[in-house]
Amino acid sequence: MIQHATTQPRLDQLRLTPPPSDRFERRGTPVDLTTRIAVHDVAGRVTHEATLPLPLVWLNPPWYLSDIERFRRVARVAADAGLMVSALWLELVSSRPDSAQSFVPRLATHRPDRAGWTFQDFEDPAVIELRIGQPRDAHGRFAHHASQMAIWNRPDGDANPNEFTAAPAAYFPPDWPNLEAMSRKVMQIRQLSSAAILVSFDSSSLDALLPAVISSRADGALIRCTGDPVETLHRARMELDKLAAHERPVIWLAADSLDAESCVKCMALGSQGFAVDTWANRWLLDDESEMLSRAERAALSLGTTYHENAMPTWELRIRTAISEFSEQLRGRIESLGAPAPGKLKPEHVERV
Amino acid sequence: MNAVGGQAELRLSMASLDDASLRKQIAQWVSGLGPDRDSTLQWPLVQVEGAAGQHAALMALDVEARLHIDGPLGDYALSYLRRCDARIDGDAGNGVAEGMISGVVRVRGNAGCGAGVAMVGGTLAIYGSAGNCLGAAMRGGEIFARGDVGADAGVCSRGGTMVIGGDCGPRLGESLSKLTIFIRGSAQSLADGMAEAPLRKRDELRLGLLLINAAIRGDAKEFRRVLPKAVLEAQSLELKGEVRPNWR
Repeated sequence: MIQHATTQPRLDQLRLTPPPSDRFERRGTPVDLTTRIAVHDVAGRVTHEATLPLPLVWLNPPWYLSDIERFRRVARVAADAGLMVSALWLELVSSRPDSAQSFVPRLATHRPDRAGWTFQDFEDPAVIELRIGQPRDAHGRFAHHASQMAIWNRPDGDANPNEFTAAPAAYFPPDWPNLEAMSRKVMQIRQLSSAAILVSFDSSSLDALLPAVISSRADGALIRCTGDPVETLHRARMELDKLAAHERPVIWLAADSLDAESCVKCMALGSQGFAVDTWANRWLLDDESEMLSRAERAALSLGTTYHENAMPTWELRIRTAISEFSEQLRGRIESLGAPAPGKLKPEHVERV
Repeated sequence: MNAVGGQAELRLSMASLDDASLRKQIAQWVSGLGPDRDSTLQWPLVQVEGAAGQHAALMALDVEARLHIDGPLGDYALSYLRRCDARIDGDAGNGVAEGMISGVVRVRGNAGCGAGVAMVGGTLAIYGSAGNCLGAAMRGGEIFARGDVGADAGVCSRGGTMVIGGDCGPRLGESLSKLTIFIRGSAQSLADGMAEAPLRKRDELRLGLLLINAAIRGDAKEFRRVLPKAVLEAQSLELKGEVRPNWR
């Protein structure tokens, strides 16, 4: 069971609307969590939809603090279980010829300094994250880790991180004289890729960047929430309310420690998807031996593998976590009588 | 479509074709010429007319052809190019030749911000001046700017070669990079950790060849090097015959 304490006071002051006690109302419609992001062309017309099994993304897998091979295994399983995983092509390529395979659904991050980006990253991701700004690393810097530099700059799979050092990251695209240039970048990506484009930025820049996202006709915004998500969604809603309904870009949130209940509250307030790094990161950062059964550990110490079950314990753990979280989302949305996350409205939450 | 002096030539207009159709026609025409084309001849020529500042034009071309574009192009023109030898007879916008993998792009005018951003190979030659962040995040290849260059040239770069014929704005270079910078004019300031040094003999030779290849007039002796201080110190130790420590 995945439960996280939320630290957002305004979110904690909200609760999901209980069923009415003065009349009969049918609830319990099966909920479909499939998420669709409308993909537009340069003229702003919808051309197709990027279909994602779940409204969830693993946005910044910390593979550089773990092992790239482990990430490749974990990412493939997580994506197979419906979680969209952020991975660049160079992160999927190794010296093993069979490992240079992509997976579905994949998100590719186009950083301001194009770190790790290759032409293949236009070709098969479901979503391209056009990143403005840069999250801080473990030491509080805006920097790329030495292991990231090794993989991104040496795609032959035998990179030695000791030859590389951490490097400062750009937080604004050096080829943009101002935010108006975003529309030309979006146009470029549209011509090279059929992926949906989500522009990601820090919630502190929302007032400047959301209008730019709208005018550039990107498909949505992925907001890195540094404060209370309710406040962020309120500001986003005010900006979006100025638009006609058919022009509204989707809003995804990347916030710390959102449990399923908080996600559903945020969905009611206008968010369509969430980053789940808080619990997904453990698949890479936890001691790998803890993700193995006793028999698998014993087999590993003998230099062999244990295959009594078709599915190794670590894989089972990932699949269970994703399925459990999805079920928690599904259950809560179902309890509100909505058939899909997109049908949730602000009326589905109320103040405590 | 015709042949001039044995040279295949195709004329297309950006005014009447959208970019996807233009790229498709170029690729089809070049592949239609067949692999048994006389290799001693120049690459086939594609004349593109009607250029008027279109954005994201002629991207991801991967053909053995010469491309002459008559007029200016907008942002991200000729990005992610392979093999092609392209010439823009006019200005280019921001991010021209972004992510170029191989080939040549010549801009016979000025270029905007971030020209050659994130390029990994090939040659970008700008015969006018270039805006801010020239060669930002470049990982390889060569950039020549005959005129002046704006601020932060080479920022976030990892490697490659940059030749600046004119003056340069503030914060030139990137101290953690293997980018080699040659400058003829003066830099308003260097980025932290960068230093200026005279050319070595081997640099003169290399730069001379680069200038000839890029069809830029000038004597290599007029240029100076800009490189990370740590690299410069390591090179000076090398000259003295001392053991070179890992400068990183």
